[in-house]
Amino acid sequence: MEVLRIEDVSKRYGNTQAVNRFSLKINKGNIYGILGPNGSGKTTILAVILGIIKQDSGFFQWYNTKKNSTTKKLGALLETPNFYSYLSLEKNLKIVADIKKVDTYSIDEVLEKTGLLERKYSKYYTLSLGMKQRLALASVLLGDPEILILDEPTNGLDPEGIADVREMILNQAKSGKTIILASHILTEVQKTCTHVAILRKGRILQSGEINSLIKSKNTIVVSSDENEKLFDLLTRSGLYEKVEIINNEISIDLKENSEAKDVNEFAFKHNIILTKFEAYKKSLETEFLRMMKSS
Amino acid sequence: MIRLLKIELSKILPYSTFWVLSGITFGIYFFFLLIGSQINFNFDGIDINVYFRFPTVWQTIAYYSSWFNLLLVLLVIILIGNEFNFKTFRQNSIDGLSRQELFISKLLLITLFAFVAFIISFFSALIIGITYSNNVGSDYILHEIYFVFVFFIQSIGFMSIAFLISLLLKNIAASVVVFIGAYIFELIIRAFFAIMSISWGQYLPFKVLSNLCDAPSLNKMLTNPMLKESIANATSTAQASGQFTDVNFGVNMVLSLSYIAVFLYFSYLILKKKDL
Repeated sequence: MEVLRIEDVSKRYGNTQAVNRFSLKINKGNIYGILGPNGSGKTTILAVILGIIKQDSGFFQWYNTKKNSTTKKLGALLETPNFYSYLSLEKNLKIVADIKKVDTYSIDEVLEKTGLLERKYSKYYTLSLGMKQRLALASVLLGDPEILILDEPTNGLDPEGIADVREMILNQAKSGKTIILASHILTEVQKTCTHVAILRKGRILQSGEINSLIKSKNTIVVSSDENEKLFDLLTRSGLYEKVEIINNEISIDLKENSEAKDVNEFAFKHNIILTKFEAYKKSLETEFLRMMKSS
Repeated sequence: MIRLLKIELSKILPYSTFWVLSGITFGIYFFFLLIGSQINFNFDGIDINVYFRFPTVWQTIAYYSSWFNLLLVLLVIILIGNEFNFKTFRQNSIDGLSRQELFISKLLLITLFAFVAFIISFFSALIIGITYSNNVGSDYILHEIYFVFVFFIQSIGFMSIAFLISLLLKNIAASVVVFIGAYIFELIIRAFFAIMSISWGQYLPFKVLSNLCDAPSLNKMLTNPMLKESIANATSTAQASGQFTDVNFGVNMVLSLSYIAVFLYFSYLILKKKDL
């Protein structure tokens, strides 16, 4: 079931193209990571789908309906936690509960889940950055929303807190929730998400299931004095998944049935001496960095 | 509506700045009211206590209270500025309030502030009037009572300007400066118009709203008929020479309501169209 459809959304701030013809479909139960360096447009696209900022062009649809009818199904944390600094945690969450039209008895429950029950009556401004982030997560969980939108949810959290958030996300996903997670922390996305969209300068470089993105076994990076000839031979051989030149080096994605030594033998057979030969186990990180370099 | 008002109240009732500002203002309000009502000039032909007797007391209190609109303006600017400062407008919207609901909730708050100010003025005028008047017949008391209702509209008017400025600037200090600056700018424009003998200055928003609760006429305290007549003559001569023009109360009221509608409409448009 399609939860969200984004079609050709663009947003510009002055001379900066924050989001450029962004299209994405998210199905129920997906944990969709939106990955990109700082300033790549992650928060902007989330703000657009939450109705906080207006897109210049394109459209988006929740459950094939207008956004307003789905707001009760959404729980979102955008950029920083936003609360009334002079109010206690309980009173801040009471306002959120009144807005979401949910019973206030669930306030204790979400505070317990996020480890803040003891600080229920503390004023918001007395909290540490990590605690503020936890409170934001508590407010997201209030009302048991069907869709969670989390923008850098582990910001300011200690390693234990990061692990807790990861576990919370996975638990929510197990109960069938759809989660959209924006992050620049690659390991966080790889460990948590089922799908990923990689962004750079507001444009999607690649999107889809994480497993298909990193399905090829290894990446080999080679170079020689005859790079162009080697690149040409490797490309024409058809033996490899993908061959490309990045920063004067040749990056080769191996197919399932091929091995690293095959590349060495291939070069030797064609009288080309390799000056560099490095094999990488493919991960989201290597794939992300490769995309960033090649784009 | 009640839900939205409840949400607004849960934001402001625990807010210490709100109570400090209100406390100081009410303190000053009642202090000067008490002092003022104790003044007793006893000159021949002048009876200053007429301002504290029915029916003039309604206008006196409405005029006196209108000076305290500045507190209401300040409160609106602070509360809306806070929403931008804490980014809670944005968060409220994410949590499920539509832009229309955001607008309505602030409009309800403005109406509530104006209503509280109206109630305070109403009871202040009633108590002072009863204390100083010899004739407390209901017809006599209720005569000119409309002045406190007009004060209610005036309060909404000034707060609607503050609402619009706050939404435009999203910053407390800048909004206060611009509000005061706009008032001074209008004074300058009016002075310029007066020099050029252009009567349009009377129709500018601050002037129109201020005119709603004008000070009671000096004529009212004069008990000497000759003195009264000479002041009336001087006034009509000044009016005839175009030195000042009085806008008809009905026209002024229609203009005030129109300005309020325009300010609120633009506030709504800003909330609806602009990024939060």
